[in-house]
Amino acid sequence: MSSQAILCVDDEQIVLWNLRDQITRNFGDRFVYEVAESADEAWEVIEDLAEDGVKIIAIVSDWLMPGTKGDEFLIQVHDRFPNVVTVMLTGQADREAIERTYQFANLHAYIAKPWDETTLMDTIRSGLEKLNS
Amino acid sequence: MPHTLFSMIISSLSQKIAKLAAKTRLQTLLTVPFVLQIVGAVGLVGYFSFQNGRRSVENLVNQLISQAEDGIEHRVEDLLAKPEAVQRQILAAVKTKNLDLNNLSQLQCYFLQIVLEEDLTEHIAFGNSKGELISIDDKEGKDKIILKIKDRSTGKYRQVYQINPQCQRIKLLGKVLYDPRLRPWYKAAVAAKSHTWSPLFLSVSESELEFSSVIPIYSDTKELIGVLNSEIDLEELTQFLGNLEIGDSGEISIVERNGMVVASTSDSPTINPSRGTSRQHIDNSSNPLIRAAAEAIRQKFGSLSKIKERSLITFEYQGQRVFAQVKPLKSQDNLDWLVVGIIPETEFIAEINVNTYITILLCLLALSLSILIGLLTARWVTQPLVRLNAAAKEIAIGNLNQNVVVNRQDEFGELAQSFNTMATKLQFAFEELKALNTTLAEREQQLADYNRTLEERVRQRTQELIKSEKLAVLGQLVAGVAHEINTPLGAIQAASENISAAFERSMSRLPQLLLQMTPDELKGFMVLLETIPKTQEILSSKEERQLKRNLKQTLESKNIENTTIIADTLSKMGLITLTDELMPILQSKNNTSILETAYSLFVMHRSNQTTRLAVGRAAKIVFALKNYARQEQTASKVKASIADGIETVLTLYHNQLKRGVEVTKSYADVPPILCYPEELTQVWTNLIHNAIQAMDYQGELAIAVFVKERHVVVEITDSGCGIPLEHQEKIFEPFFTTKPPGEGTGLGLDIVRQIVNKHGGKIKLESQPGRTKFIVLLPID
Repeated sequence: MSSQAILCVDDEQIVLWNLRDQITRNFGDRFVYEVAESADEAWEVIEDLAEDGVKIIAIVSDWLMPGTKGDEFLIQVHDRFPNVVTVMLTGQADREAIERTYQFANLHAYIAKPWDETTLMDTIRSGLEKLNS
Repeated sequence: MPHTLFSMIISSLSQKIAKLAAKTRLQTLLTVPFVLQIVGAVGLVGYFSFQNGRRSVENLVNQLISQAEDGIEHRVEDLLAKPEAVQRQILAAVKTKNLDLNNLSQLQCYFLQIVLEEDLTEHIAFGNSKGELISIDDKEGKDKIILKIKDRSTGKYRQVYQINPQCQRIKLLGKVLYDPRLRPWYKAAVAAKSHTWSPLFLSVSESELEFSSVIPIYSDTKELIGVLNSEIDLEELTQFLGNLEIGDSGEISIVERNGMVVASTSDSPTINPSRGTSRQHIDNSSNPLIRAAAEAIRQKFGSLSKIKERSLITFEYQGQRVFAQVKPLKSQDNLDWLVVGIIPETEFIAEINVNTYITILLCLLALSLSILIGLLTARWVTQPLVRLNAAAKEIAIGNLNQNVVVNRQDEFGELAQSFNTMATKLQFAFEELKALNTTLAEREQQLADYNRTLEERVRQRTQELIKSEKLAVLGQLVAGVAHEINTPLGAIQAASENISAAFERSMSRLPQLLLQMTPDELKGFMVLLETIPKTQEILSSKEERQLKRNLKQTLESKNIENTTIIADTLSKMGLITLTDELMPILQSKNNTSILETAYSLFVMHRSNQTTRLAVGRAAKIVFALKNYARQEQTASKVKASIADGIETVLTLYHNQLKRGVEVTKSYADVPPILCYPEELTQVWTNLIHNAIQAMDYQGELAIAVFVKERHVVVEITDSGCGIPLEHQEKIFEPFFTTKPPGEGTGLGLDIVRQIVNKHGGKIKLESQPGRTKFIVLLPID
């Protein structure tokens, strides 16, 4: 079993299902793929994975969610895991929030919904490559 | 204070007169005071002449009665003076010893001589202290000389003889038991000790009333010898009274102080009922007029004895005024009589009445004349005024062409001329005014047109403002709406790609896999494929993870390989229970491949489901947006559900709410009401938008819809910071905003209030920190 995980965070399950299927299909069994419907849940997942010795390497997060919003969440993650590749996938976001995320969470990419599968996968891949280099 | 009261009365009186005068016509106003003056003057003259008449009557009465009384007084004096004089002569004769009182026969003849003398006295008598008596009388109307004698020869009797002038007894007429010392005249003289008048007393025969002048005679040793007595003929007094003329119906009575009648024009001093003679009292007079006078005198003076001097009184008798005058007779010493004279006013009233009639006639004549003159004067004065008045009235109606002709050189003539000038000027002025008015009307019309245009502009501007407010809200919404639509779109796109990928994968793997599978595995596979579409329950990611853990444990306990991958795949498909039929495929060495293929088939199914859900979501947003943004105003009200309107807004605000607002909805079963749904949507938008902003996207939003007292009540409560009291009054005013410039027009709540008012409803606010409630009441009818 892989010791690296990619986490998708979105309050919409229909997004999560399809996103996970896309990523799974593109990256196969190289990683563990987890989903969470909110930032809080995402943290739970991160904790759970850590217990199993699985490390988060990339997070694809929505911006507008109940509770903690995407930018804040990514900044928090970046604080604890500075190497995690962060991608924001959202239908709409404040320009300010995106700027902030770029600055404080080392945001790898911002992708608008509806998204193109290839673009998204290429983005994640480029992020991971940057990580490995 | 009295002064104030007086001036108050005066002022109120003058006010009343002024009020009365204001209502009265001029002609009447001029005539009435004139007539009133005349009436006053004539009335006064009449009154005084009447009073004078009365006074002169009183004078006349006074004179008349006084004359009569004076006559009586003289008569009485006359009547009484002679006997006294005679008695004093006799007394002188006795003193000069010319007459011996003890010689009764000498006395008898002496007395006879006196009696026979004309004009002295008709009666003279002497009674001595021994009880003897000599009395001679020659009373008028009796042609006999009578001697009454009582001496030693007659014993206890008094004998009455007729005698001749030669002093010789002719005939014994009768005798009676008698003692002069017991008679009233004797006693009166003894008591008075000098000349006096006896009281009126009844004669021995009790047939007549007697009254005497008496004088006691004393010896040198002051011993009483006897009493001289001269009777006075009261009959003569009565006759005298009878001859007196006091008008036609006047009465005179002479009475003693005790009221006993001495003489009267109506009564005899004695009354002769069948038994015994008694004296007449004035109160019992046969003449009712005298009785009434006696009563009036008593009322005035109390009793007769109190009258000291001549007094005239008047009293009412049978509806007429009667004069009565009383006078004490004081001509003689020791005589105390009263003369009462009575005259009814009717004696003179005829004359007075004639005077009064003449006065009244004169008064009426003067009155008629004065009214006539007054009317003529008033007419003369008012005629031009009436004409001017008529002309002025005509002018008032609008007939300006007036010319009043008054051919007079006085003030009225001038007035008429001035009036005519004025009327002409007025006519000119009026025409000018008319022209001016026309211009003014045109201007007014123009102004009204401007006004209308302006109103229209204001209305348009207001409409535009409302629209811009709406668009401002819409602008804020669009960002959220983009997210709301992009999310399902993203899901749809991903799903379609996933379907393609899953289809390819399953198509490439399925034929080979089916060939490799044992019959048990095939059966299990078929069961799995059948189960998947029936898994209706959508698990949350958390539940899915839990399921994955559970499945992994179960699978491990059954010694199945690749548990992590298999548990992952199964949990993704939401397979909760592992039936025995599934065991063959799970235990197969190709288990991961079989399950991956099954998952590919499941993805196709679920992606379809995703698409359906996403399309629904997008459609809902678009629908809400369309509802909200619809710009045309419904011309008339339509029946619409309030809750639907609120739901539309909530849909649009879904993404804003989901950040941290917990929405509690409590919709009672509320009937649809006639309303303008688009406008109400704007109300809900504003209120919900404000609520979310007030809470800064964190907190609780409670929406309640219910019916109360024929109203639909919508309560929108937020847990925000609340509205300060000083703002609560103003928040419904247009352009009131606490937001920084550019963020709000300040029209939101003003528009809300306008819309609610348009529905005949009300909007209220209750606010405190942590709980702000807007209450909208809309009438159901």
